[in-house]
Amino acid sequence: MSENSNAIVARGVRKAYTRKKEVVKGLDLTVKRGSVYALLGCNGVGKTTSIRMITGQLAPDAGEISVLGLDPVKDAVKLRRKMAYVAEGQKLYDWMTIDDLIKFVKAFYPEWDDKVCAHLLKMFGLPRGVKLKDYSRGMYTKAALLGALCRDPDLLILDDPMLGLDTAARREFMSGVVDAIHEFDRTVIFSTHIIPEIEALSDYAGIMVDGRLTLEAPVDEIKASFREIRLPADAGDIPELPGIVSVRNTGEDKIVTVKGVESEMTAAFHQAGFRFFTVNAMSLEDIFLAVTAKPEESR
Amino acid sequence: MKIDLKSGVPIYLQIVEQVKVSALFGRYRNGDRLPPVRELAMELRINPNTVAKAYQLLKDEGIIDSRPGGGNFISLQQDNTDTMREAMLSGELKNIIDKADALGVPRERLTEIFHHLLNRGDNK
Repeated sequence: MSENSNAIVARGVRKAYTRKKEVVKGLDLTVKRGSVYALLGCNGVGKTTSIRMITGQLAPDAGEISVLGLDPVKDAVKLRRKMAYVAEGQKLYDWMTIDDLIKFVKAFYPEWDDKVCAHLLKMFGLPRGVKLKDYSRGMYTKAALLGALCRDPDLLILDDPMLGLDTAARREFMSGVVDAIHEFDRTVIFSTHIIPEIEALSDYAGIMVDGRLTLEAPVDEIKASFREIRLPADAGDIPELPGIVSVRNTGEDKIVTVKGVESEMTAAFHQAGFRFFTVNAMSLEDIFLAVTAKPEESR
Repeated sequence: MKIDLKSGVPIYLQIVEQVKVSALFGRYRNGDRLPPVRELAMELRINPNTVAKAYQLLKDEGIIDSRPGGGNFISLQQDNTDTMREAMLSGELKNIIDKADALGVPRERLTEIFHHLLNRGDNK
């Protein structure tokens, strides 16, 4: 594994909070430098625990993690200067105004960029003379993003930051992130289960199920390899064909999600005796839902 | 421009297609300037690298030209537009052929339907 081309490499990472409850169960994850990576998973699958190990807030029980070529636990101080982190429900200094916060954070980071700061202040429309504790949730999160971006980080980690924001605030937050991607060398990792907003931003996606990644690939590649086959509800039982990921009934339709080459899958369904069906492309969210569907829902 | 996440076409190709269609149908003229990468990315809330990738492809295909002062401009040559028109139609016809295959309509029958429709146009 080349340390130069990868911003984050995790191999065989495990973490348990109690002896019986292992949360991360052998995580292998690779984030290329300069890419935007979406770490997707339902609540409770180990996303936040994984992120905390990447940021060095938690030490893994087993396995190895390298972040920007550094060990997140041993090199924590060094790493903290190159990495910025915005998390859901993150606490800032509530008694400060945004100008106090800027002055305060700036003192710790020599790379602080006043131009970016002025630009983001304007773009986010954050009120100046107000204490942070009186900000709306959306403003508060944007203030946290501003603090993270002005440090000119090599790695930006966003842990479900849009949770609880309304649509307008989410859009503004996303604009800030789009703005931040412009730097070629900056890596962004996004953990979330709100997929439509981040799909068009992400170069790579990793889908996490029960403590490990079940899928990790470029988003365009993922989208090219999944298709949804719609059959009439009375089409009969779906046989065990290779490539079938999930089957569900909507009442009107039977929807089969398949992974593989479209023409081969179509041929297989013809061969199995199905005559009437349509094959459709899927959004990343549809793919996520199919891949993470529990077995009992999926047949 | 619009992005369709449900489409099987990667976003950068959706942008390439839309620029081509706009140019072919005269919505863009030679010398028109495309929105800057960052601006379009912000507007569509997509990755700026995706826009850059689309613009690079348009440049490689000789549809846009970047000028030293910055900015990307439509610059279409006549033979280029002819090829593009045909490529666009071929693409749509290929979709029809795939659909016919999926529906189990034999190729000969498809040819018949096509001729029938062409002739109907003549009789009008």
